[in-house]
Amino acid sequence: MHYKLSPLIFVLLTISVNAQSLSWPYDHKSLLKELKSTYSQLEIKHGFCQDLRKREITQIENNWLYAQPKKKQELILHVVSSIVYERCTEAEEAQYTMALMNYTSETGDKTFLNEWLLLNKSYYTKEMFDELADIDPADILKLAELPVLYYPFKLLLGVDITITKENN
Amino acid sequence: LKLKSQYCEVKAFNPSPRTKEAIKEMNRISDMSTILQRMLMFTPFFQIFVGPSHKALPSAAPSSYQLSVQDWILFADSIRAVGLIERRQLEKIAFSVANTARGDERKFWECVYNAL
Repeated sequence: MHYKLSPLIFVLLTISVNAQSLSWPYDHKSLLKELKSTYSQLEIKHGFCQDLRKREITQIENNWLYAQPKKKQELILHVVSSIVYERCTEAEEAQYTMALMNYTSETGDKTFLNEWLLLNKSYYTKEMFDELADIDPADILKLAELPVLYYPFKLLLGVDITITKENN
Repeated sequence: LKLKSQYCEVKAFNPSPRTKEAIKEMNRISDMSTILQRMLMFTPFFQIFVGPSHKALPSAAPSSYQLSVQDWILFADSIRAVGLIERRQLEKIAFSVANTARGDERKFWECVYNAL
């Protein structure tokens, strides 16, 4: 009798141990863990992208940008810097957003979602949109593909960048 | 920190509603009174970020005050306590105000933006 029960006890013990070690991917604890892990990855990527921004840009050769008024040039370069920065953090941001959606939809807790909404605002004002009203977005996207502007950069205010015509 | 020499010497100015709103938004993202607590004792001008009722302040900000490049270096050092994602948002806010501000207010936001 003693020996007949042993396999049953073994099976029950195995199930019990496995149940504790397995983590159901949709429980709140796992979702929160994934959320925090992907946020850490995103923060690390921001560090990498912000390090890239330390490079100094002193000159840009571009006929279209050259033809724009100085005030508009500043705003255009700000938009380009935002585009290339977002390109740098894109993959990690997508992972965090997915984890955030999973967490919020399963738990109903909107705390992290509300924080994320605040951290995603573009802060473009009406004046900025008006200033860019006559600009073809395709021209801005072309600038974001130029080798000199392709990687993250910080446009320092009050520090002039020389914008010249292209040498063809 | 990259600053144009002498550029960040900003005189005190009366903050416009746009500046007040931007500072309010910055405080929603990160508590500026905690971040700037130490330097507020030495540079009362930065009280602009926390409001006149903040208890850590020895006195109200003077009506005329010149911020030196050194003050901005201290500001930049203090702001490093802010997480990178939050700091990026503070930078966006600073640019959006600098873009439309004029005079010393523009200079102030340029310096905030460059220091972030």
